[in-house]
Amino acid sequence: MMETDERALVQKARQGDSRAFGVLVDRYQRVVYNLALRMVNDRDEAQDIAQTVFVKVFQNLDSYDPRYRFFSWIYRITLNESLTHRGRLRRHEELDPGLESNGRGPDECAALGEVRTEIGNALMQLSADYRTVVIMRHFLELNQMEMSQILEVPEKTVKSRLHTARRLLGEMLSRKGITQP
Amino acid sequence: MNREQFERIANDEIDGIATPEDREALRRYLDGNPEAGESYRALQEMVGTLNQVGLESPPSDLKPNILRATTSRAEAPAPVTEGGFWRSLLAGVFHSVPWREAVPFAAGVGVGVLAIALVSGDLVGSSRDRLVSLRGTMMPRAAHRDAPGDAPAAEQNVIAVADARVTVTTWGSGSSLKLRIEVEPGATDEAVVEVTGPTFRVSELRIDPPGAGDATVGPTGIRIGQRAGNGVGAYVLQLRGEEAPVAPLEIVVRSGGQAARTAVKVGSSGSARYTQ
Repeated sequence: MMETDERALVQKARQGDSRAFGVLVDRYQRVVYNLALRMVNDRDEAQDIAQTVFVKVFQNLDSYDPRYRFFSWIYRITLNESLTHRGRLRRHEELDPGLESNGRGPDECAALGEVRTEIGNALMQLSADYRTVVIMRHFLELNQMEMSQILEVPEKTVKSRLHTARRLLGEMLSRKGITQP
Repeated sequence: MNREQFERIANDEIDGIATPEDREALRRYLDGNPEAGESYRALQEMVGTLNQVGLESPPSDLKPNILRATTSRAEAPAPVTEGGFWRSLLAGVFHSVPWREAVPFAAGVGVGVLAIALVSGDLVGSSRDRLVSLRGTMMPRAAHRDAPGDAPAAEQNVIAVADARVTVTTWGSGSSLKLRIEVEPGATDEAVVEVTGPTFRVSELRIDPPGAGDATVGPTGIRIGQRAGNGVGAYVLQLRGEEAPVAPLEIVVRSGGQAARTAVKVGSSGSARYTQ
C-alpha cells in the first residue's frame, strides 16, 4: 500500500468524499474487526467496536496528523475502544465462560474452530498488555517497531511483553492439550 | 547461555530478527541441551498454532452500516443551543421524583400531561428552544445480550451532542418496547437524556454499572443524567403500554449547552422504527 495514496484518500475523506472514506473502510475493516474480536472475544461486541471505531475515525479525520501512519492511528483507536468497551463490561459482570465461547459457529466443530476458540479463551486470560502484543504480532503480523509506534512504548518493552505473553500462552495451551507441553 | 538469554534468542529467531551470531549460539545450545530443545519446539509449535488461526472475515453488513452512519452524520444539521421551558420543567419534575416511587404515578398522570405535550406539537422543545431534529445513526443490529429472546432485529441511533455521545438501541414488540441507552458524557459536562412520548409504564430500569448515573421516571417521561468523568453508563428500560402506541418516542440529548433530538416510532407490527 502506498502511503501517499493513503494520505490522498484521507485528505479526500476529510473534504467529505464518501467514496474515499469507503476505500479506507475496505482497507481496514478486516484488521479493525479482528483486532477488536481478539481483544474482547465476542463477535457482536467486535462488530459494535469496529462500527464505533470507524465513526470516530470519520469524526476525527481533522485531528489526524499525516506525519504519522494512518494504520497506527486507527489501530490505536481500536485498541482504546476495545479496552474501554471491555472495561465497561467488567465493571458490572463476572467474566462468563459462556460469553467467552458464545461466538462458536457450526463450522467450529472442526479442529481449527476448536483451536480458535481455545486460543481466544486463553488470550482473554492474559492481561491486556500481553494480549495486545500477541494479537498484533500473530494476527495482524506487525513487527516490533510498528507495535512500538502504535503502543507508544519502547521496542524493548514490546519485546519483553511478547516473550512473556508467549510463555504464558504456551503454558495455557499445553494444559488444554492444544500444543505439546 | 542462561535461561533468559535462551528465551530472548529463541523468540528473536522465531520473529526472524536473530543475528547470525545469536542463531549460531542458539544452535549450539540446543545441540547440547535436550530440555531446551523441547522448550524451543514447544514455542515453535505454539507460534505456528497462533499463525494458523488467521483473520476472520468481518460481517458483511459492517461496511454498509459504517457508511450509513457516517453519511448520516455528515448530512446532519448542527445542533443548536437550547434553552426553554420544557427542559426546566422536566428537570424540576424529574429531580424531585425518585423513579421507583414514580412508576405507578407515571402510569396514571402521564396520559394527561403527554396529551397536552402532543397537542403542542413538540414534545420537548418549545419554539424558544430552537431544537432541531438530528439524524441519528440507524444500524441494524445483531443480537445483543439485552435483547428480549423473541425480539425482532433491533435498530440503533447514535446521537452526538457537543462531545457527548448517546447510543439508543430499541427492541419493539407491540405494546412493549425495550430501550438500551448508552451514555458517554463529554470530558467536562454532564450528558442528559430525556425520553418522552406515549404512555408507557416503566416495568424495568437497570443501570450498568449500578451508580453510573441517575435515572428518574416522572409523569412525562424518563430523565437520565450521566455526570462528566463518571464513565459510560448503560440504562436498560422495559416499557409497557396498554396497547400498541402510535406516537413516537422522543429522545432529547443535552450536553455542553447544546441539544439534539431524535424520535423512535413504535408501530404495532412489533419492530421499533427510527424516524427523522
